[in-house]
Amino acid sequence: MGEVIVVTSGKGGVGKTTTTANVGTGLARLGKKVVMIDTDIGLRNLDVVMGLENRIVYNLVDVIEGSCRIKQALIRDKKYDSLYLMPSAQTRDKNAVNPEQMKKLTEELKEEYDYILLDCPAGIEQGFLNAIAGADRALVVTTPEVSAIRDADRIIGLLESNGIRNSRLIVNRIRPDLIRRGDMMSIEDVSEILAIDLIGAVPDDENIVISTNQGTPLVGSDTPAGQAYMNISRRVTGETVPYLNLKQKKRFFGKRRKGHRK
Amino acid sequence: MKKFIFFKRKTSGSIARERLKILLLSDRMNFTSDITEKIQRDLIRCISKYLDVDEKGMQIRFEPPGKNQEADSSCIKATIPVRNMKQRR
Repeated sequence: MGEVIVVTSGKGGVGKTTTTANVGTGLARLGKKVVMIDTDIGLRNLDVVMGLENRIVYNLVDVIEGSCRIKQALIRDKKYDSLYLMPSAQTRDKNAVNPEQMKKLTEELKEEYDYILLDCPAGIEQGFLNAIAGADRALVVTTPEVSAIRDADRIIGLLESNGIRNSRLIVNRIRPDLIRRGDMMSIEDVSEILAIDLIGAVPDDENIVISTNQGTPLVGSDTPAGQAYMNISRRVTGETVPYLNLKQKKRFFGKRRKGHRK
Repeated sequence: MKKFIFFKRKTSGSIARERLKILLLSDRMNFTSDITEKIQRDLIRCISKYLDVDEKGMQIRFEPPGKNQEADSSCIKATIPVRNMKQRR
């Protein structure tokens, strides 16, 4: 029996889709059978980040409406045989799907796959309610900015009132130099303010831009973000990956960078 | 330690942290704003049994932890103007 994980944030542009793509790919690297569903109807993006935009025939709405079988809408990844993407519809509106239908779909997928990752749309409207309907747990993505944290707090409240209490936090776009200078909230600050447990922090890394340009997730590669996403993927599977010493930011990132040069 | 840094130089990171703490507290309360109203109503009912209070001038506020010296946790501050200190009989 698989597990349904929703990747959500409230605010747009904090890295939900990038996180879904990288954690999904990371889980596949660990040998898990994974389906990623883009639930952002009308504004699909996950296909582009995964570099699979040219292979789309059927989409989520086709499956929900019964115009095709689930298997027909699943696109296999270029690199990993156990990784699939169900793209969203680009030309439909978000009311084409309801929470009960999403729940039924994820229940069916759970039978065959280890992880079902849902890329949630920004906002707290219908699309959000659809995405969280079938979720067992949530990964809340935020950046160390006031606006993103405020929205994340709202999302955590809504997740809790919908029965999802085991949310974990991903702090994205960390700038260690700014934190050291005191001009960015630290990872501990963010986690403490939001009062949920951290599952990982991802440094701001230009390699993310490069990997999105190429349509190839960088998880597991020899880059700061690639390593961070691989650690998060391992923690999602329940593996205990030691938390890097976040108090000594200078040493922690310095050490890691040195390691990469070897 | 935290306080020391705070007084030494107010960095934008610590400003963000303080702003968020207050912001989220009011966000979280607004989320259940009817609770605030209910508390207010009950307080008026309770106190006006003994004192003559000005209902219109009443204010209820929630403050984040660390804002006052007495409590480590969040606290409720109620301002209730009393019209007449004489006991009601």
